[in-house]
Amino acid sequence: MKKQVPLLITFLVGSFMVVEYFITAPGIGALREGLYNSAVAIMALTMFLGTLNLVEINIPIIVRRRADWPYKIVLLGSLFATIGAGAWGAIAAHTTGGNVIASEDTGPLKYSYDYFYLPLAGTMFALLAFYIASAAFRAFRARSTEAALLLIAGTLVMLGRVPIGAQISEKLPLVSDWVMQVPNLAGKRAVLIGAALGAISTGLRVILGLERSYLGGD
Amino acid sequence: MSTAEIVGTWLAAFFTLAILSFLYKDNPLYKFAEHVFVGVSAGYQLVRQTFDVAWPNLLQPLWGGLHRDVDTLKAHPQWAFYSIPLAFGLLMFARLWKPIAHLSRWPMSYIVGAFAGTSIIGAASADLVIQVQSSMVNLRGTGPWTLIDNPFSLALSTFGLVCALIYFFFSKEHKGALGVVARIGVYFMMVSFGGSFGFTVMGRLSLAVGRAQSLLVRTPLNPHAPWPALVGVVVVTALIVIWERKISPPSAGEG
Repeated sequence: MKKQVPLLITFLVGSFMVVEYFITAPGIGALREGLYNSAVAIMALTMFLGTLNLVEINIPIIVRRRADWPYKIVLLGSLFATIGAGAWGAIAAHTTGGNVIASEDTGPLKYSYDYFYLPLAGTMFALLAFYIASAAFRAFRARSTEAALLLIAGTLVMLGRVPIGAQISEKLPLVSDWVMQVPNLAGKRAVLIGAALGAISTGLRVILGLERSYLGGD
Repeated sequence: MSTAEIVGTWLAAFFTLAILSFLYKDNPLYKFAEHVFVGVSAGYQLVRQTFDVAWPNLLQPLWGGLHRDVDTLKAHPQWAFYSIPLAFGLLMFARLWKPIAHLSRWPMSYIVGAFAGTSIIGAASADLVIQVQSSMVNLRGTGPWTLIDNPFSLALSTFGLVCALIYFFFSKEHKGALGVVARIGVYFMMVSFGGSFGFTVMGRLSLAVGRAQSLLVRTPLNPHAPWPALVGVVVVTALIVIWERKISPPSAGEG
């Protein structure tokens, strides 16, 4: 029963989602939308579980004074401060009869987004540029035909998208576009078609209960 | 500009430089900023998911229905049905208590089933059919010939697609003519990966340029630029030097 009921739920919900596409009877579309929105809402609720997990992992580290414990206080502090900012805006909007959802775009949460989340996320991803460049230096050694093609295509695209590329040759941006629109598109399309076929077969395996890894052990 | 905004601008500059200090080496300032980032991201996502997804799709109809809100009753006459997904959502928390932990598989299987079914239709209609349709091009081109829209480029693109698809055909060993075609397919995919790589690098670099501009260029959002950045550089450097001296004090012969 521990596995049969979940497998049955997956089969019923999954097969309905597929079959619904081919049925035009009234009400079916609304039912599908309801089921899908419910799945999305349940997923949103799992964020609470994730947050609880974050707290559950970090509290013992702080209590037992394990390595880097002061940073865990910073982590939990910023977590609760951000949740507090969101809750504060929502409660303020609710008590004044305002729009609770819109309050998140203007209230304290917006402040936390603008001055904390945005600069931190932007810099974190910008930092990757340096590591990608260093990885490229190692990966782009033209030791084989494949690596040489990777090197040439990467270099052309990068040069074509910066002003110095146009300074070297005004044709370079055009060549960069050609690489992106012709050979890149051919390879990308093949990967997309392969991935689509893979997604379909994996989806079918999940619905039919052949793929059960999401149920975990036991 | 309010005091909170001014403080926010200075803090944003400090955090930006604290993250960039990782380019020197892993240090407490980076770790501090990293943990703030994790906490703020998790909190922000929780709040957004709650108010953008869970509230309108689940909690608001139930709340409004229970309080006999006229608008809610009109929009969601069957509001009571929302208690089913709510119960499923709450079952997720069953995994926190071992005797009933297996019940958390029910909502998980619901989500997996819903997304597996949706992905089959989505992948078939949006990816597979659209991509195949888009590949069926008029090899003579659609207008005046350009570098991209000309018979050679269009034929090359189609040829590359067929070769790359043949590479993914594993039912027959890649030997002889099939092997040659599959090899050409690999070459096309390598060019594709190289192009995507270059594109990603440039995207990340433009983010870096954006951060630098936000620190150094005076805008209504950062009217004191470049002072927050300059002070930030001094503070971050000083703190890293102090930390370095603390973990490895200079030997007696030095200085």
